[in-house]
Amino acid sequence: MNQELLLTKRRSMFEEVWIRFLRKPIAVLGGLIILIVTLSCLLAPVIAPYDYDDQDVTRKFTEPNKDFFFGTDNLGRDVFSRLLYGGRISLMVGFVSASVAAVFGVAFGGIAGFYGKKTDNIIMRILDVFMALPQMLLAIVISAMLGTGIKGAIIAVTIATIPRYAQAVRGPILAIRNQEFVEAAFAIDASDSRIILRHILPNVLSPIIVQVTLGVGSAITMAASLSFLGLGVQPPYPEWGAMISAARVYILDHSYLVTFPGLAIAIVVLALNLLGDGLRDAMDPRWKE
Amino acid sequence: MLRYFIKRLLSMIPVLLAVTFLIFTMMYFTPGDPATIILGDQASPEQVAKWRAARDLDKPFFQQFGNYLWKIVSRGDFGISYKTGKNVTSALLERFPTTFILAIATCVIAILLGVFLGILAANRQGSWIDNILRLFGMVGVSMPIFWLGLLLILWFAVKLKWLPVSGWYGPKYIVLPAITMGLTFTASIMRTTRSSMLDCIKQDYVVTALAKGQSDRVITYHHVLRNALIPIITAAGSVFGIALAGAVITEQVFSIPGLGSLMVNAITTRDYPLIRGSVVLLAVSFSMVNLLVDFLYAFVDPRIKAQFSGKTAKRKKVGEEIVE
Repeated sequence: MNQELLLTKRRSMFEEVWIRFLRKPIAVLGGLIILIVTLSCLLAPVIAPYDYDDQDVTRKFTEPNKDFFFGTDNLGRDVFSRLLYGGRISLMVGFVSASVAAVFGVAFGGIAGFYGKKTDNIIMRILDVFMALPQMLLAIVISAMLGTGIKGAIIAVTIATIPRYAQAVRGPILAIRNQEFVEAAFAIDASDSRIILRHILPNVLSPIIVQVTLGVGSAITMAASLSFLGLGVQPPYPEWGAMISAARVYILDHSYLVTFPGLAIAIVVLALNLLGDGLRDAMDPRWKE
Repeated sequence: MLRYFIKRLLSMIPVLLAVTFLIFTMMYFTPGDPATIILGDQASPEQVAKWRAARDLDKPFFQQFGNYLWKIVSRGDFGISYKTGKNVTSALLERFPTTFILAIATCVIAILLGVFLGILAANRQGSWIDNILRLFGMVGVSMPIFWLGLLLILWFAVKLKWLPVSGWYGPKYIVLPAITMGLTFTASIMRTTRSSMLDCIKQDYVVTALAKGQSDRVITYHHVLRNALIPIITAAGSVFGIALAGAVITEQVFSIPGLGSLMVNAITTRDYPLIRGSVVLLAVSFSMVNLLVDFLYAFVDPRIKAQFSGKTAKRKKVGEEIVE
């Protein structure tokens, strides 16, 4: 036993997490799906057989076949190519708004949790006001104010989701704030920013990463919902939600126009959820064998 | 207990005031002058000025907000729609019951199905049923509501012709929209129920009950479920709130004349009083639901009750520690 212990190589935290993560095939599958979808959307100009706005009414409403994998829409545009280009918008909106929201949320929640008392009270009361509205509703109102477009959608989703991240980090930071190693850092006269960035933040990194992974998925859905309501990304840009919104008129005769973009959203969000869940399990120290 | 209710009720007021202020400010600073949007570019400056004066728009910001708030608080008056010239309050009251019924139906479906499936999964932890239910839960939360709605319309209304496609003319019309929202929320309630049940199953009192020779049924429903209720209530409460907001999208899919579709139409026509009114009303209902959930907590969790009905300071302190 002792010998075995001596022989085991010491692994860093990330190696540990990585090894535990690899033991969860479903989470790995989720990660792979995200990777493949992201890469193929980035490579859309190379992979896509047509341009996203390549119209040809003579071939409109072609059912899915070997030339047009997912068929063509009312203007004869290739749905598969539009999905690839649209994925760039949907994924970008998701990743950008989730990460920006996380940065602000972590900053607010971190400051509130670290300084406590009055600061905590003020920040949390302000966030309470934003949380008195359901996220989706808040996003709708903000995007109504900002007007349509990709930028508007990103800002709307970002602001609407900031409170969630703040809440997610505030609790753990409050708990860590009173631990001995933080007290020790205070004792050697480390600056507040150093204590927050070097001592506290690394300890709450895993819940943040998990939240962001799950957050990208919900941001994609929210942005798609905004487009569906006619508030977010506008035609001719092929954002997935906007594609469904444009296609719903033809749902009776050409249901594939609605099915494929929706499937794209569902698969990506599902993969992100699987990945997030897997990461949570892998990063939770209570799971350590 | 009464003290707790009153305290929570009072704490809601500043938040709601702030929300009203937030929404008012956002609409105020939205680019574009409502007068030119409504009257058109050809309107003479006198017409514009008259129109603005009639709606308080020529007053300073804080005076406008003060008037707006005062009218709501004193008379429940949300102003007059720019587009139709009708009273916003009556439009809201006309539409609200529809959205409310839809949200209730959604909750009933989500809670019944979610709790049932959650118990099923927890009792058979690790079995194939559990795994299938977990996958179902994952898929459920991943599907966008509007897409699921369209698919259900396609299958059950167009292909099978069991239910109407859209509209709001009777009980039959509630089924599809409620199922659409209900299914997405079932997943979250199911997951919460499952994990909360599993936490409780490991407790000592369950072992005691087993040792006493209680039947599985009694243990599941009387010992485990009762203690597992709090997180389930939280999930159920948040479902109702989100259902109110989700109705905005679902109503759009099924062409239901509720508060949500009223709001979306108001946004497209830039009818600010109507947008403000519907958002404020939704925020108030959302907060009320959260408050109700808090009360329900106190009702199910004796520890919270003890915190506020305790006669000595010591008991109160113990309660606080437990809650934290």
